[in-house]
Amino acid sequence: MKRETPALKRLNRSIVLTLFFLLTGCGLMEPIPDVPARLTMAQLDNYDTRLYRQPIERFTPYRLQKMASELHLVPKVEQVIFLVDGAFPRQSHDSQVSDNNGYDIVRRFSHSMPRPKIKTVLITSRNLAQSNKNYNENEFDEVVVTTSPIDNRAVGVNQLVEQFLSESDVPTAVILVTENMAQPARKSDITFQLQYVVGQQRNACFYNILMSMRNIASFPLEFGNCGFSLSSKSLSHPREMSHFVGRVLFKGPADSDGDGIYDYRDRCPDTSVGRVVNYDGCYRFESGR
Amino acid sequence: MKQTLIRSTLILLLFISCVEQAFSADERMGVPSLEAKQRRQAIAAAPDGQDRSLPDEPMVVVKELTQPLDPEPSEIEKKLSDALDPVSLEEEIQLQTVQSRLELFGYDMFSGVATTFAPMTGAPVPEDYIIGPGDTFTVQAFSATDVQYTLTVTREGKILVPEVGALSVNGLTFEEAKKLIAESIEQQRIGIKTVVTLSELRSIQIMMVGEVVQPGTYTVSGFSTLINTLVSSGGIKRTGSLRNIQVKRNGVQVASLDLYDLLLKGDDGDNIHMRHGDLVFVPPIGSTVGIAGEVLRPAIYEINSENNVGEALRLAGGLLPTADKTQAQIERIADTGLYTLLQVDLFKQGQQINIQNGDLIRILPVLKKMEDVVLLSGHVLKPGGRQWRSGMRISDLIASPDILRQGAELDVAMVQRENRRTKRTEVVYFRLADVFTNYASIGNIRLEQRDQVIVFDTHSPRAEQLSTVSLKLKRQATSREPANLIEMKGFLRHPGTYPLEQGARLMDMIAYAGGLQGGVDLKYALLARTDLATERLEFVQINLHDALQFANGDHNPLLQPKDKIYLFDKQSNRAALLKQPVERLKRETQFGERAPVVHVTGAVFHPGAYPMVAGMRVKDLLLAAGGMKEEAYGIAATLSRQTILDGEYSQTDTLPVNLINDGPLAANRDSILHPNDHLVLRTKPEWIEKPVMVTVEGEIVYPGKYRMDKRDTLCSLIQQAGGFTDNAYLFGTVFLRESVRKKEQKALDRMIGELDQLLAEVHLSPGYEKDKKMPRDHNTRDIYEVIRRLESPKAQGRMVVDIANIVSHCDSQLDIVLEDGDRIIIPTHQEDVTVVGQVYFPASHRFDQERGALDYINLSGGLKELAQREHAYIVQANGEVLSIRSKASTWGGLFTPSNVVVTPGATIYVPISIDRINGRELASSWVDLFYKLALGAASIDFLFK
Repeated sequence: MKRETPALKRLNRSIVLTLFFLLTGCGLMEPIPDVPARLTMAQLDNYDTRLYRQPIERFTPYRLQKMASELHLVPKVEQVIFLVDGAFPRQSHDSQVSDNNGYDIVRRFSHSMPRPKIKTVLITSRNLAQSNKNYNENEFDEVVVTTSPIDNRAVGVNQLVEQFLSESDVPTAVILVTENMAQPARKSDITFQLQYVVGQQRNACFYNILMSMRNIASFPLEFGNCGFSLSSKSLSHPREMSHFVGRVLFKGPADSDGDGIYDYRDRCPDTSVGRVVNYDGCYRFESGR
Repeated sequence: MKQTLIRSTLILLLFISCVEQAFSADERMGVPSLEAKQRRQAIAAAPDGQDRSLPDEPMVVVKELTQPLDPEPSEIEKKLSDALDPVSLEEEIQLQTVQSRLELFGYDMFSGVATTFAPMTGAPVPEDYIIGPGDTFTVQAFSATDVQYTLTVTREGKILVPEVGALSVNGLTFEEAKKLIAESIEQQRIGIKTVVTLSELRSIQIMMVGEVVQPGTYTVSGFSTLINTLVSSGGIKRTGSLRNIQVKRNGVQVASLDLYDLLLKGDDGDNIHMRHGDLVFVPPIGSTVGIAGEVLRPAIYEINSENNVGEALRLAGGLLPTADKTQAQIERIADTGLYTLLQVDLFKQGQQINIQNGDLIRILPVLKKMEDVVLLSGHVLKPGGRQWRSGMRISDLIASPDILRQGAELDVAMVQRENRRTKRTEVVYFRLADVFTNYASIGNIRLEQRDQVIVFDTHSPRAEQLSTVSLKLKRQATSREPANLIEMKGFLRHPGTYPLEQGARLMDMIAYAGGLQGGVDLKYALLARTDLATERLEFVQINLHDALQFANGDHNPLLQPKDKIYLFDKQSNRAALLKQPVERLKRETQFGERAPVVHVTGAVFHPGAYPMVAGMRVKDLLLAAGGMKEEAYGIAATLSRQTILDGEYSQTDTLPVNLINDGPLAANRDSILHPNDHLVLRTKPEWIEKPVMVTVEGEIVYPGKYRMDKRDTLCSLIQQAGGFTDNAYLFGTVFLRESVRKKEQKALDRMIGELDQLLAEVHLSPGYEKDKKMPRDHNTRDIYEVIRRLESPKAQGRMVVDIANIVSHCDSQLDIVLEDGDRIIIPTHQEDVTVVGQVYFPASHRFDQERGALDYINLSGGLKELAQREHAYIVQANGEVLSIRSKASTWGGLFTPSNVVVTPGATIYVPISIDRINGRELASSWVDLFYKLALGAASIDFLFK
């Protein structure tokens, strides 16, 4: 065993003391950041104060009426068919989310439509009528309640839609409100089936609203369809909903002389085709052929 | 006796008077005489002390010349030298400046000449010289005895001639005096001949007063004239008059000298001879007039009788040729006491304008600007100025192609013209070829004065030739009148900046830049126009087809300054060319606007950002992008659109765009684009960019190259190739794949790199056992030799496939999807087994079912001493490598080599014991490399036997 000299001991003690004060002193002086516990995605959602969490009563539609007349919007469809099941979202991620979310989307759509409203058809399952206190079938021109649920277990819904489309030969928008599929979609899913059915029709567009907690990116559908899919998140605000309604119902601003400048900003509404125009819709160059 | 007494008294008197005079001169002045002063100066100026003895004769000290021998060039020389430069149309701004300082005229006459008043002893005496007291005659008489008298005129004016008596010569001229003396002597003494000369001239005293440099009394030679006196006395001060020098004699003015007459005309009529006691008075300078500018002698002149500008200018030697006669200026102090400026046309009123004291006449130069000239420049044999005449045309200047240099551009040439009214430079383009063919053609334009004809050449960049014109145009630009320049970029023969011809259209300017080239995209060109009022950039999409077809159409617009033209071809990168303007568009976009830029990506030829034009549709964007590629998916492209909702909220919409058929509801090619739209074209599903080509060789019915589809497998290939022949040795099939080879090669390269590094490190660091440090030179050479051999091992890329199983079952689990470049070699049946490496006789042996690996090794003579039998391995014909000690062995203990099953075509490899080579601890790590190398080589070897 080694014997430590007293001097060495004293040295050791002083070193220890110095270290101690050094460390504690630094610790006291250093600001300790207030790091919260790691946020889970669910917690992040709690901060989301988007309006769609609020009940339909608070939804003030942003009416398209004025915009349609101001911008000379050209109507695209004469009939809208909604397909919605009342049963989802089944999993409630959040206490604020009401069970009748899907139907709310439809109602908000309906409320945002310009007056006079074009024909609206609601195809829904029994679940909706039973579960939703806001359900009001008078809001729609026609309501079809199916026995089959309108989700991936649906039976015969596509034939129903096909029947509607073939009976009334008018441009139609078919809007399906479904749950967001976590797993890759299969060809047997109702989305694909309806997409195919609508895609066969020349004058129908298919839109798919995905109820989801995540704001998934919208994407165009296959088969040359004029519709697209989008997330219900992107429809939460009245202005977003009205924008979507505008995209479904209208082709866009009118361009009667075909010069590529919309009528509402066309100062020369009678330019001839093939001439170069400026942003005011007038001839860009004075002389022409 | 009496006579001699008188004579001696007279001589004495004369002597005394002379001495008195000499003394009194010094005493009276009280200052050292000029002579003494000069002497002192000369002593001071003497080189050294040895040369002290000054000669008695007065020194003539010549002042240094104030002017250098090679004086400045005169005004005329300067002006003409300037004009020696080649004819140029450059205009210099003519500043209204004249000389920076003026001097009084004539006073330099007194500087730089001898200032001594030494009498002019050497000069012959003029006949009209008036004899006075002090003159000394030398009379020589020739007869029986020659006598010589030196006779000085006495104060009474007489000379005392011996044996003749006193003769009064005072007031006579030298001629008369000579005659008188000669006659008098000859009368007295018959038969004598006399010669009378004036041996010594009298000195006279004069007084100089007034504005002279050194006033005072001077003793000068009796010969002296007024000018001599003035000059030798140091001259006139600058405050003195040169024009009215008065000589007073006995209180009466006898002469008045105007030095200007002498200086300007050489007239010395008033230059009288001085007499004793004359008083020279130089009055102060009179009225002066400054004459500056373009005259021969700019200076300040004293005016006497001159009273108008014309006469004053004559004093200054007249006007220079470069003087602007119409625009002379007189600065005058008016009666009010202020300076005024009179503008004088010398042609008309030169004689009428009076001059006053203190006037400054300023003669400005004419503008250095050539009129009546045209300039031929550029690619010609003799460039330079030519005379212009009214009605001159291009053909008069360029009569034939002979004066053009080889390679001159005949399609276009340019005239740079000065607009006389607006003072702006303009350009006119013309076709040079027209000029030669037809005099009356449009191209044979009428030339104006000071036109510059520029002939281009076909090869060198045109913009460089035009840079001076461009610069000139750029400089004359104002905010209201921008530079008449346009820019042409992209696929042109001579891209660059061009001066814009008034009224030129797009195709005209393109023609001036060398014209359209083959391969230009006729469907899409861009005109970038800067709005001259707002400076905003705006694009116009140009269809060159249309422009070619309709000369006045919308697609062949009139151009305006600051336009930029972009032409494209099929190959080059459009986006790069448009990057800058697109950036500018984005930069200029303000709040409340949207940047007029649209994007396209995906299956188009030129993806990128393009400027949006008014009324742009999807099809226009596709044209801009050079069109859709073969593989583009036409049914649904994606159009991403950023929409501003409710004024302030932006949202990105995704629109499906159908690019082939026009559904009534879907967006299509005719859809109108919005700013910042982004079109994404997809590739057709399952599109095969590059066909899969595989090769089958060897024992197959139809060997050769096959094209396979995306999901075709080895099994389908064998079926297409008609199956195997009877000789096929399926077990030995070699399947080579490029992607595998690359992977192997990468691994191999890395291993070699590691080895290299390892060896380098090993050489620098001691081994584990410090005392067994490896000698630096020992074995290292061998190791490097090994590495050098390893440098370029090539990976084979062999995949071990169980082809027999695959083909017999065509099972998707075992089957291999083919890749491009796959090579399948079916060898013929193998009968031998090769043993290489550390055996005594490496050889091939006939395959025998009964034999194991060790049997073959034994057949080759057994293992050598260096052999490492633990590491011996066998490369089977199918590429599998088995260690002889592997689990597949049929017998053998833990440490004894086993006797693995050998297949026909196998190679048994017995490696060298690495430990024995150098005994290095780290060397074993590269056994691995040897192994891999040997494997690669051995696996293919049998095919090429």
